[in-house]
Amino acid sequence: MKSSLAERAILYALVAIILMVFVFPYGFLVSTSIKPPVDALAIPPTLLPQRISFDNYTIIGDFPVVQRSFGNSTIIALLSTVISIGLAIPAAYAIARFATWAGKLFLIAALVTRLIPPVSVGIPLFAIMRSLGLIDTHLGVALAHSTISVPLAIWLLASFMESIPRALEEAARVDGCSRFGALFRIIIPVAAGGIAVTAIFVFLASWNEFLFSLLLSSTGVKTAPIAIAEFKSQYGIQWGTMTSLSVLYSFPVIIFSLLMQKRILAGMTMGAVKG
Amino acid sequence: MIENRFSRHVQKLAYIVLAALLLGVLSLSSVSAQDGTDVLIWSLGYSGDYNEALVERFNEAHDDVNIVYEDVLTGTFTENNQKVRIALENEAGPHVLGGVDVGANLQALVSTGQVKDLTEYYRASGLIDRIPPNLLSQVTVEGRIYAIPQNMESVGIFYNKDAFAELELEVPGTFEEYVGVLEAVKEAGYYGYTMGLAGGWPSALMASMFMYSSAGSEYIDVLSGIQPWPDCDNCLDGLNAFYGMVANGYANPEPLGIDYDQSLDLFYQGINVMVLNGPWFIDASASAEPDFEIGFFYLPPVNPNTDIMTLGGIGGSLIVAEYADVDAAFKVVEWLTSEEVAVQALRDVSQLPAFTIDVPEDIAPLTYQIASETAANVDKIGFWPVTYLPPKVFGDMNQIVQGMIGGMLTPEELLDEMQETHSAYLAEN
Amino acid sequence: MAQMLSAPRKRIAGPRFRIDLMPYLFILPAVVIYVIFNLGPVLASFFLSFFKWDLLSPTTEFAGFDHYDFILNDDRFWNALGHNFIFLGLAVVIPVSLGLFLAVFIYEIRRGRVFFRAALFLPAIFSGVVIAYVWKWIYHPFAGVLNPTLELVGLGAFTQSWLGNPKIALYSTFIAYTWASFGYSMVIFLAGLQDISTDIFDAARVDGANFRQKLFHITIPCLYDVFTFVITLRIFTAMGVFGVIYILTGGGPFYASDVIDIYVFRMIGNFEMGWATAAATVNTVIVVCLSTGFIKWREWRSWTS
Repeated sequence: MKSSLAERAILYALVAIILMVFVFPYGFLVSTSIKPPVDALAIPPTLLPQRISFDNYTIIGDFPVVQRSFGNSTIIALLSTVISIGLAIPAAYAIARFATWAGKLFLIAALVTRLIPPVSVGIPLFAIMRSLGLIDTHLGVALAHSTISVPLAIWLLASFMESIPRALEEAARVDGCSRFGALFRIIIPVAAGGIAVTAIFVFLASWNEFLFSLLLSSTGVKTAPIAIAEFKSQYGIQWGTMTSLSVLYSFPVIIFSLLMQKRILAGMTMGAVKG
Repeated sequence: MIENRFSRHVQKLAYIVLAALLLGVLSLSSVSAQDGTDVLIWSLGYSGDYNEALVERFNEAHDDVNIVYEDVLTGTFTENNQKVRIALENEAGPHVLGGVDVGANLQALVSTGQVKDLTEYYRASGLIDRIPPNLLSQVTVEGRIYAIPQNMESVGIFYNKDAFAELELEVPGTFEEYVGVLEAVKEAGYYGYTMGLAGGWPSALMASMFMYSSAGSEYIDVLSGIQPWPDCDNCLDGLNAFYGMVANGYANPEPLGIDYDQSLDLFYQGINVMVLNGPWFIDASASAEPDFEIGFFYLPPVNPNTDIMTLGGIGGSLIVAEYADVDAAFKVVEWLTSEEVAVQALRDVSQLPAFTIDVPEDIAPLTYQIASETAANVDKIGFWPVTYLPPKVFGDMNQIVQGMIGGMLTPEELLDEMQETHSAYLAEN
Repeated sequence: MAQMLSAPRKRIAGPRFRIDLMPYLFILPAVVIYVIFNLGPVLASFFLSFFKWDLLSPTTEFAGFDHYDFILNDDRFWNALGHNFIFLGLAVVIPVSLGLFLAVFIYEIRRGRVFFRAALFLPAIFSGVVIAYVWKWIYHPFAGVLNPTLELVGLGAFTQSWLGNPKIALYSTFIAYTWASFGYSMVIFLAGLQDISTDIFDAARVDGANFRQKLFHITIPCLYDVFTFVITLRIFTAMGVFGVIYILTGGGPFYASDVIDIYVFRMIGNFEMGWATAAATVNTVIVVCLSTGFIKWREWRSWTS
């Protein structure tokens, strides 16, 4: 880049301000979580902790329900990832390679039904889950989450698969591979990067979902967002503990986004620009 | 090359996923079986730890019935209610529903035939003679009894004792005296009445508190759709008193900018000196470690001639009609009303059980004060309006009250607006 | 089996339809799950808008368009819908242009790119619950950090009851929404930028084009399809906004930040499914019309130019 030094300095300063504004809320959350619990309520507030204390974190040990909810969230998000990816791979392959009208129609229908407010779908969904005996099970909640993420997963994967040269597959087919064989031996390994990105999206969608988790679980499989939201009403207001829970809860999200950001970007490229 | 290395990572990830899933499945399959009939309780009332201890004691003392306890608090009243009703409709609910806000909520459940008529059990067990009539009326629908009152709480003003001592204030006995206290507090640079009205419920509830304490049972007629809102002059008096908290600068500023929980911090910080709350506040406030002592008095009624003293909540236990073993379930809910449980409840969770008991003197002074005052005035306690208004109308009322607090509606216009919303609802349903 | 289904590539004489079943089999599992757990409940909820039934009582009564009649005559429905449109108008401008600006910046710089990208993208994948609670605390009129910060930087005149002032509340929720969504637009723009051939930018530089000329004559036209995608996404999220408003204001004060999904949620409280599903259906129809109309218009424009 040959832009002048002054121009670049202004640009950096501007973005630094924007960055400060946008990182600020999260920074405030982290800073509150390492204050002593009583300081969390101080009026007026202090931006940085005057005293450092991890009481807000150690106190979580007293709440087994909250601890269990993190386990539930993990199991449900993993299950939902396996189900969504398992359903999306063959469907995306069919849409990318055979361009069937049924596939396209299904994809459009699935994206449109996502526009309906989930609150009005909740009641019939509960009835269906109940008749299948899936209320308050990991599988039930995971399936509900999968219905949210499968259309997006198919869409992302299809764009990844479209970018794989057909020649690769045809070579395999000439060598006597069936279509299943080609899918498993050629497409899946080559699209592994895309599959991983999609899996992360699906995982995070399930990890963050609130409404269906609330409706479909009672005590057995309560997820972390619900436990955090309930925390307030159940144990009085403990803003400090709310912040430490929120920080812990955001941890996987941050890790994934830092580790995988190049991949996520690639996924976006495929999905958005070519899809 | 990178792609290949990446796919190996994915493989590794897949193994980890499978292992985690396996562990999850194994941990699910460890449910223990016990002898006797299982009674599944969903509790919407007391805090979880306390209930678990209670259930353990019951299970040790009884061989024939075994309680399985689940805590299903989900936050707001509407969410709780919604979830319970979905579950009952789908027969995926519990056998006993504990800590339900009864009243009109009970009527809705009764009208769909989902809860068991307990009148005969009441008679046979003698429970009918032990429960005060105004509580009994809360669990009665068209002459039949459907629920067992289990716990009850009444709300009042918690105040900063140190600030009162510093300003040499007395606990007020009438509403005029109360306004005098607010005036003195304001002079001294504090805020009196704590208000956090953001969100879906506090505005409607607080306004109701004042209308109730002015109109008494007339207000119930209004809520039930029998009397039009604008015709209730006493309601208007109550609303004016409520609006006066804001208009006269007795409450903290920006009541619409903070929710109820956030407003409590103003009390803990010593900025506001009085807060309207229920007995559960004793525990909640302890965890905030305020550096002053807390006292309690009932908010004096706006209209001294009203027939109720304060608002209260009543938690009842219902037995689900369709699939519960009623004999076993009744044994459980009857035990929940016993003096033994009631006294223990007072010691552990500072809430008053439904009927007069001898309040143990060894409990904390504030708990003792609230418990004995509530026990002495059990027949003068009115119940939360939330149980009388349909949730949609309650939600609209909440918005409309915010309109008055924000200066967009006068109290008279509020009543007109309520009438319009309420009657439109009643016409359709 | 696969051999049998796919082998006959040679044409047998005479006209003949050959349906390749394999692709359908591949899609089938996803379709089955979708129909059971997604389309089923959606259709059920749509049909409920024509019946008077609270899901609990044993009797149902056909209501025709009664529920639609009520909804369309309810001022509060139009108030909520109007707020959705304000949200939409702002959402297609602010998060989108912010995302574009940051994407262009990150594309231009060499140092610190990874850090900026990660930090700015983070809010886009946070849980809505966490986001809403954080903002609730930021806006707090006494304990919040926004007002003191404004005073600190000399903007004391702008201190506000951010959620309590009916004139401001909707816009305050919009800021929280922007915080949660601009990162998504940014990453998509960034992806689009990386697809533009660097030759075009090099040629422009040789011609002596300045930053503004490059932006308006190269970057934005080249990102035509990306814009279509990003704005369509904003249509969906702005018309369906719920969580952030539910936690921050609950639609208040006095309906000042009410939107359709909050309106629907209030109706659902007591299982008045008829009104709720009618309002949800109207909103869905609007979103589908808006988004398909917009996409068709963009296609038509790119085709005519």
